[in-house]
Amino acid sequence: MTRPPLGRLALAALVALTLATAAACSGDDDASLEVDAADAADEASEGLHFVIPAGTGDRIDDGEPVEILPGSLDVEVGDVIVIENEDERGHLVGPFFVGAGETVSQRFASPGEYVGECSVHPSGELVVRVT
Amino acid sequence: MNRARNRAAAVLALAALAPAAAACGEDEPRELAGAVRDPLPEVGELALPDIANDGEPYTFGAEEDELQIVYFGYTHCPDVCPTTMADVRTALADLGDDAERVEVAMATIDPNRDTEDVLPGYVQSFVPDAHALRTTDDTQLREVADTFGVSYRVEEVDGEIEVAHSGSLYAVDDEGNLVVTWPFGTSSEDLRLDIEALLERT
Repeated sequence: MTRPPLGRLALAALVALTLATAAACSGDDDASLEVDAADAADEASEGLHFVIPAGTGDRIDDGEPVEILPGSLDVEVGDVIVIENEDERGHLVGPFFVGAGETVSQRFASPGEYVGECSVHPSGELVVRVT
Repeated sequence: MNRARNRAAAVLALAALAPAAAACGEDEPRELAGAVRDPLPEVGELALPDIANDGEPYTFGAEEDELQIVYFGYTHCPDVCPTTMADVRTALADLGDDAERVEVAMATIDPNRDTEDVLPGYVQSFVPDAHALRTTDDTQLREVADTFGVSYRVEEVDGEIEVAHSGSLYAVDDEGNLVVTWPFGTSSEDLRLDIEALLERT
């Protein structure tokens, strides 16, 4: 019986491990910051996916009540909020700005409180508390 | 002999696995703490005068392989602006040598009071080589602010100047894309971690 040379053994082990490592890393190659809207919607935590419909700006101009988000949100670290803006103008949504046709998403990394003006809630303000 | 050969092969394989595993970890894009807009807003065509550099136009967009941090505020701001700029200073200090790849600029939304004598000193008290952006052309400032998603109002009420503004902080990459928005309240630690992640992606 012929013993495989040490170099061949090592090579085989290296190839196997390289393949395993590559497999484990697959899907992580795309370090792009672009967010796919459909993926972002899927990624949103329960109750944290909001859509600003087309015509919202006009409704505000006409004095109609608009309440797309609540005045306050209580979320947990790790939750993801996704806001899609289908309107033809940008909107301030508390600490976020989402331009016309844009989707904004954020994963809350740490506890804290974020406050800002909100054009799509009657109170004009959105408070996000992260615990 | 076989056992010795196998052990030698395992040692070689482990030696190869360690850097491979490390590389794998490095490839994983970190989840950013800031908000990401899609599509990424392009700000690379915009510029404001940099009064820390003789009023030369300062174009938004980082140098190659670098990152640009941009803030819109005013020097009379009692809380949000100094807190944010202090957090930027802390994040850069904690970043170590990579801080050399980060450029900081603050644009005033209150140019009547933030004159050439005031703004550069204020900005550079937080980050020594930071850029101080100021224009008295409100149309120009509005265009820049709208593209970044900044809202601001400066009004005189009963003889007092009242200012309201969004307090977010922005990062621009070397292609002129606004890659992340940090709402006011984001910790300096989260800023540092996000900056590190963004620098790795440039």
